[in-house]
Amino acid sequence: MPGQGLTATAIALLGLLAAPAAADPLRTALVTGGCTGCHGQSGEGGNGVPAIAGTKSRADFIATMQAFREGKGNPQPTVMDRIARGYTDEEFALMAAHFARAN
Amino acid sequence: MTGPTLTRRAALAGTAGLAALAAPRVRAQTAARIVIVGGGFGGASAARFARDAFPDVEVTLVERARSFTTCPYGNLVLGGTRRIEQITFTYDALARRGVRVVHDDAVAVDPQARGVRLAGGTTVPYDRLIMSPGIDLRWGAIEGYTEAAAERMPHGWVPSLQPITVLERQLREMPDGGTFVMAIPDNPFRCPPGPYERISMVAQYFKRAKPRSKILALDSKGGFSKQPLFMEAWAELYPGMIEWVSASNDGKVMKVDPQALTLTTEFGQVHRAAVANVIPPQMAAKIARDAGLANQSGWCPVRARSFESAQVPGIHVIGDASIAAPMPKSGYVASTHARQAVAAAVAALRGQEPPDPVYFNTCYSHVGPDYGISIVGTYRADGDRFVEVPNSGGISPRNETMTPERRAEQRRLEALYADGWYESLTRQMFGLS
Ligand SMILES: Cc1cc2nc3c(=O)[nH]c(=O)nc-3n(C[C@H](O)[C@H](O)[C@H](O)COP(=O)(O)OP(=O)(O)OC[C@H]3O[C@@H](n4cnc5c(N)ncnc54)[C@H](O)[C@@H]3O)c2cc1C
Repeated sequence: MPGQGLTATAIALLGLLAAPAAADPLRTALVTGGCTGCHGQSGEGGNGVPAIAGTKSRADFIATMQAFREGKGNPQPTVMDRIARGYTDEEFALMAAHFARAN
Repeated sequence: MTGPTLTRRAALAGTAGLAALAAPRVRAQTAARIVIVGGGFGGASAARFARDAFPDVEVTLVERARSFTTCPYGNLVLGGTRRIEQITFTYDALARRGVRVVHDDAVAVDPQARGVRLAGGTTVPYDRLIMSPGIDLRWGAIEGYTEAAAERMPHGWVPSLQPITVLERQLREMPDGGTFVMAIPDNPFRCPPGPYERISMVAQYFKRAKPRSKILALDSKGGFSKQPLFMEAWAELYPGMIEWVSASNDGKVMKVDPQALTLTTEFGQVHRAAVANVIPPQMAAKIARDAGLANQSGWCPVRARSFESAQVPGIHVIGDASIAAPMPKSGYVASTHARQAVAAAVAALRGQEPPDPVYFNTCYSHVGPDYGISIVGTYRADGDRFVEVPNSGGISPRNETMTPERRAEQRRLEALYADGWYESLTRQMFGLS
């Protein structure tokens, strides 16, 4: 799992290195701030909340968020459907670049 | 309570190195100084984020108390499933991460000279000031409800003024068969679902330990956050125990008598309590009002992209003290105000515009064992207004929309996620992970 012990921002910045050139690490940190409140500083999960760091490829991460937002795929989301409806595709891509596996 | 120092150092070094690559120096000569007043949900989150995201900036946190007991999960202390030590934190880990923590009372702000005067006599200079001092209670807004009255009729709403254990003790000492009476304020106030989570947790305790006791909730409003979910849960878990009285049914408490333990409502009904919990009307904390940040409402108007005060330039006001409706006054949302305000403050020092904000909130409430519910909201700036993203967020699904099995699972998971949220956010804001 990436980022054990690294701060969210450090990961955002690491994400930048691998992300499309336009990704702004500060914006990534601001957008992913909503995620880390429950999923842990590095997306490591815990206390019953699933890990989101290093668990999916970028494409799968984005597809999962879109499925939550559009009410497809996972038939019975608990809170993520309500959460995903607040975010844009561009923000899903930033989250994916930040949390997803590199491949 | 703390992570291994080596890991932390490595993390800091990593952050600093990369950030130096990514961001131009804030200042060539001396480090820019961000000062934060208040080390609660907004202020501690701001300090943590500023330290991580901007290694070149000097971050000072001014907080009068040496430890912080959270409001969140205080209701679980009443319910008997948490102890106060489990919801109390220190600032040591933030200090070890490089935040300059000053334990003193901020008594005045000079926005011209850009300094915060402390009770100890020193002045802390700033380039940008972030204020997250929380709330004060409006003593006397309910006739008879003074600071002295709060000993007999606890509020349990501001842990630094009164630990939740005062109310806890009264509930434990209450004889079975008594009535617990609550007075609940009108909007806006700290934590819209908080009073109703409290009703639920007291009911959970009564059901177990004092089953003949009753709860009477006298409300100054016509409705409340997550109302249908709370009402369904109360009927199911605590049948016959809870009576909620809306403002239109004479729920508004106008006067209290702490000696007689009575509460008098708008149309003159007098209710006698075995234990009374009075949550009075509120306003931004004194230092914010004294600094000229509040308008006549008692709360502080701010700009929607930066949380900079609409009244005093160079000062950002975040958390409960700010006027940020439709966002609720919650700890989670205060942490997202914090990051945006820090980013906007640094941008201002660099002569740049604030980044595009996205503010996020989830308020979980525990209503019984393995029974949690939530309200979610995502917010953005539209010009100088805060707006909720259309068709997003909302409350947990109602009972009738789910099979019994799914219902039990939904409520169980939300109670679990609530615990996860608490753990994650508090560890983050106090620098523990
Ligand atoms: C019963 C209850 C349950 C709640 N549950 C939840 C929940 O589940 N989820 C959630 O998100 N929110 C919850 N909240 C709301 C949450 O507690 C507040 O929204 C949050 O604390 C606001 O953060 P803040 O930074 O504005 O103020 P605070 O967290 O109150 O922090 C203010 C800090 O400033 C310090 N301070 C003030 N003035 C000065 C001064 N002059 N000098 C130095 N220091 C000063 C104070 O000592 C304090 O530490 C709950 C609230 C209550 C009452």
